[in-house]
Amino acid sequence: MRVSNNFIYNQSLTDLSKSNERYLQTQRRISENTDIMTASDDPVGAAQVMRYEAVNLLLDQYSENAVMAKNSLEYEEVVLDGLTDIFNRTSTLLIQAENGAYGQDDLGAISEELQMLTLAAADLMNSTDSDGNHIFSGHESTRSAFELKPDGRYEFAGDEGRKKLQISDNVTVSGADSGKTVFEDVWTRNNYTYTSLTGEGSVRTEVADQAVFDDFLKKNYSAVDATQNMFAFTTVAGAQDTFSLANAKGEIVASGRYQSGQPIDLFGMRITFEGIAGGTGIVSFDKPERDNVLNEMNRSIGVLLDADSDFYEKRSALRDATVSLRNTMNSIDTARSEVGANLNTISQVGSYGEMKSISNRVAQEEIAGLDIAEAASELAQEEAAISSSQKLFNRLSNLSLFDSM
Amino acid sequence: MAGDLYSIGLSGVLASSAQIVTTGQNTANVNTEGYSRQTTGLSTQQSGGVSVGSTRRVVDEFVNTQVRADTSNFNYFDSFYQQGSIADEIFSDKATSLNTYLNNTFDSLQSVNSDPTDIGTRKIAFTDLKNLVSHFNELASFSQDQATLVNEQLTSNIDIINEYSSQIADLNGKILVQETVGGAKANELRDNQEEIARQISEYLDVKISYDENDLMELQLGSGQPLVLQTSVNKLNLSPSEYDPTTYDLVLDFEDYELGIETSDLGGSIGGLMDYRADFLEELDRQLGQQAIVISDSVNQQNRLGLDVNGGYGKKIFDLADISVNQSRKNSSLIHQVDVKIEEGKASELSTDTYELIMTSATAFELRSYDVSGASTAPAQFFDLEKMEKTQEGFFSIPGMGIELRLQEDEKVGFRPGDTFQFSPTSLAAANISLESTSGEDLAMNAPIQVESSSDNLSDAKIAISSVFNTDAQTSAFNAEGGLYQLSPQGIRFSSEDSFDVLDQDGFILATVTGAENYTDLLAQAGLDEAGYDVSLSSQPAAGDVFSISFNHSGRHDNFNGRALADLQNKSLVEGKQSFSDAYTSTVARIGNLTNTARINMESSEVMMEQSVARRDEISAVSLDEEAVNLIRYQNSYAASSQVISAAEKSFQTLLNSIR
Repeated sequence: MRVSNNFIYNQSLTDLSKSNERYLQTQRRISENTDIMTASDDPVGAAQVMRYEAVNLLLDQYSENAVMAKNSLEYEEVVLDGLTDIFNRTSTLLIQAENGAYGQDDLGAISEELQMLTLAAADLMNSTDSDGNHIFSGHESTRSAFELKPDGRYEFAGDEGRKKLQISDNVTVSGADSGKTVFEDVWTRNNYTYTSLTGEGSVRTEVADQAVFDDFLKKNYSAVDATQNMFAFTTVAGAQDTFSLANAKGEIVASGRYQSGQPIDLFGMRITFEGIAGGTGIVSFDKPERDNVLNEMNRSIGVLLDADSDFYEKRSALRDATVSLRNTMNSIDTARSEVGANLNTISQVGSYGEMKSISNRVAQEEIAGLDIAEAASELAQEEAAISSSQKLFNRLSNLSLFDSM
Repeated sequence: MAGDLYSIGLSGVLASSAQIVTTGQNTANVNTEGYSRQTTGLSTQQSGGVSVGSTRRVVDEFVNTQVRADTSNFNYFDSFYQQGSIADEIFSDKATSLNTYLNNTFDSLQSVNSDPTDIGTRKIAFTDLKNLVSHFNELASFSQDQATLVNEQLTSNIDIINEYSSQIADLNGKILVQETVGGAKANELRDNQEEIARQISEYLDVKISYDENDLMELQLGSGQPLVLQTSVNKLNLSPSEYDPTTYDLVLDFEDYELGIETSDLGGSIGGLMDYRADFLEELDRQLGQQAIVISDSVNQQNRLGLDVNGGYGKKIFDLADISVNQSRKNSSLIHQVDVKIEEGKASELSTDTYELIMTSATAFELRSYDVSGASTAPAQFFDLEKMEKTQEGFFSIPGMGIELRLQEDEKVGFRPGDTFQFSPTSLAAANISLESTSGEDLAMNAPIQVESSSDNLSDAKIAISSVFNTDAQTSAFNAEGGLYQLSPQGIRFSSEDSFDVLDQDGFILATVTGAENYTDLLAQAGLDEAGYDVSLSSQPAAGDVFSISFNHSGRHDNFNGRALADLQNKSLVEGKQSFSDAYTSTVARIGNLTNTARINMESSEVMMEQSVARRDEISAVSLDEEAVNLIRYQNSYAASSQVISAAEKSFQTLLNSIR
């Protein structure tokens, strides 16, 4: 091959500039501590790294949400805890008050403590978080959850809404319950009314066995057809006075001997009829209602303080309060276990998120991370290449026939 | 005889001195760019002695052609790579990544979700939205600046080519004169000419041929002549027919202009043109597509909620009008075609260019092309009279995400062949702006609230399952902020699986019996034009009542805010990618193209160096060789002069012998 001067010098120049370029590339990789400096170094790898980065940023977003949700739920937990303590004490007092041995003054003292407990409970139901938002008002957090109206009743003033926060792609966790669900929509005690149609006499009604009566009501009550809620009670005079209870269709559901003044137990209801047989009346279910335990408490306290109310009225009022209280405490327990479940979800999703984030970072390192030892040895190698190219050039350029002529 | 010897010796001396001159010429020009070594041919004379032939250059025309071709190839990839690596560096940098801004925006939306009444977090979210918009503008302006630079480079390169072309033409004239008058080959001029041709091949792929006078003819790769003998056809950049901001290459024949296909130009001009079309234009359109999808999806979702003051959510982002260009050959330049993105259909948008060609006064054909001009879908035909128009006269093109309005020049009317061109995603990223003025416009609340009656026997709870339409004309929502009287506002269960849907006053709107599940109750009742739907959490009891009302005071609700934040997880860009995925693939594409260009550049550089080496092998000067030749010709000069002196001596001897 014929070697021209151009060739010699071009070759040396190309070698030198290529060695320099490689050296500078490696130097840059070391200084930026990554194998992928620009997307063109490894387009597929660069795209993967960007995707992992995007996923990690999303996981950070979710973990921030999780923290906010956790704070809100823990707040609710504290309030519910406080309410449980208050209601435990209230429950004890109510059982005490049922003791027939207490006189009006004793009942007055108990009532006073009950009133204070009720006010404390109302306060907790209206508690606010650090931003001043009422936690139990649902979405209308600027208003109190339960407002005391001029007639003495606590009315729910918020709404049923419940905030949710997203803590992972498919998991949303709820914030605090609405006060409507936990406190307002609590069943009060089921009761019934006796309306006399014909006949003379006095009637006393009470519920002797609440569980049996509740069952009877559940089986027969209809919200759609009001006639199903009424039973005809008839007493018939005869050789032996009898009574019978018939439902709306006319079927006799209960019957038996009637004796004036003797309490008749029917499906948990105790009707004590005093009078001559031969009358009729209607036994009708009271519409099952839900109300805030605060209202039931206040009503019951009112009855206790009323000196004119008799034993049976007081007992009925106390029973109302007790049932309402027990149902509220169940509701609070349900809310607390939901809070617990939500907190568990948050912590599980959170730890999964952390693990995912770590494995993403490891993957990113594997794709784009620089092996510093390898890079340092490459650098040394290229330095040697540069210096040998330079020496070679020196030698070649000194060789010329004209010098030895 | 002696006379012969004199002339023989003289011829030898003349021959050797000619060769020494040539050697000297070669040695002196060892570093001249494009110089081909010369040799002087000698031939023996019949009448004795040696005659000096022509001094010719040692060139291989085929090798030179190969050098030019490889030079064009290398410069094509080199110019593409140089430009591309700038974009590559910028887009690979994390600080300029759009994904960072997108993440900040959605992160602050999540914070607003935790307390939609907090004005502080709304302010932060608004700032992040502003930053997102201005980053879109910046990335778009990068590609615009690049396009301007490319145009400037093209202009100056074309000027250089034209200059070179005229130099070649000029040299043709000089060569003709020198060779016809002087008789000898104009070696230096031809070297000069070929070197200029090689330099042109850096910019453009050119073909060289020699005509019958052995003068150089310069042609473009596709055959159009640039130089014919002494006449030059200049290249020009002229504004493109449909888009006055881009320039096309034309050849100026004085009386007319010929447009040049840019697909096989080669050289750095070809590289720049392909970079501008395939790389920059597609980059701008991809960014534009992402901007349009973000803008449309956020705007649509915001409308489905209530803002911090309880009013319906308004537009957050604004996009500029899409510009439509029309052919200068249209029957009237007053014809107007307007294009809008169809609200809610931005996911159908692609980055194509669309061409609308009228086939009659009321019908047209719609064609779509990608950036390199290849057709992407079969042409579709539409009849104006059959299209359903909105109030403002727009009709939607199904499947493309756009709405069109055609307004003809009343005096002329549309004629077949009238052509309009537009690209909805072009320039969208530069023009996206924020229409909202504060974080208060973010509509985080659901527009309705639902309630289960306290009298219900069951514990079933009602919840909103979806809100999909709040338009006052087509849904249950009225314009003042409430529900129409005759809209579904209550559900009453007459038994466990039958329910009535009631209006505001309690009149029955619809009844459903035998319901199998408790989700989407309004859809089951056939009332989905209400624009919302509800579901129950568990089985209700007979007599249960649930109510739906307008959300007048529930400002703490984040139902719509969650939907807004969830947009980042949906595959909205062309129905396949989320926002961050779309940007990632834009960056990956840049990396890929740049990487390919670099690999091609490196391999074509090797090819070019090999061709140049082969040329040098044939035509370049080797000083060692010239040194040897110098000695050789000096010796033969000395020898020939000895012949003369031998001739003289023998003559002298003859003379001396006679005396």
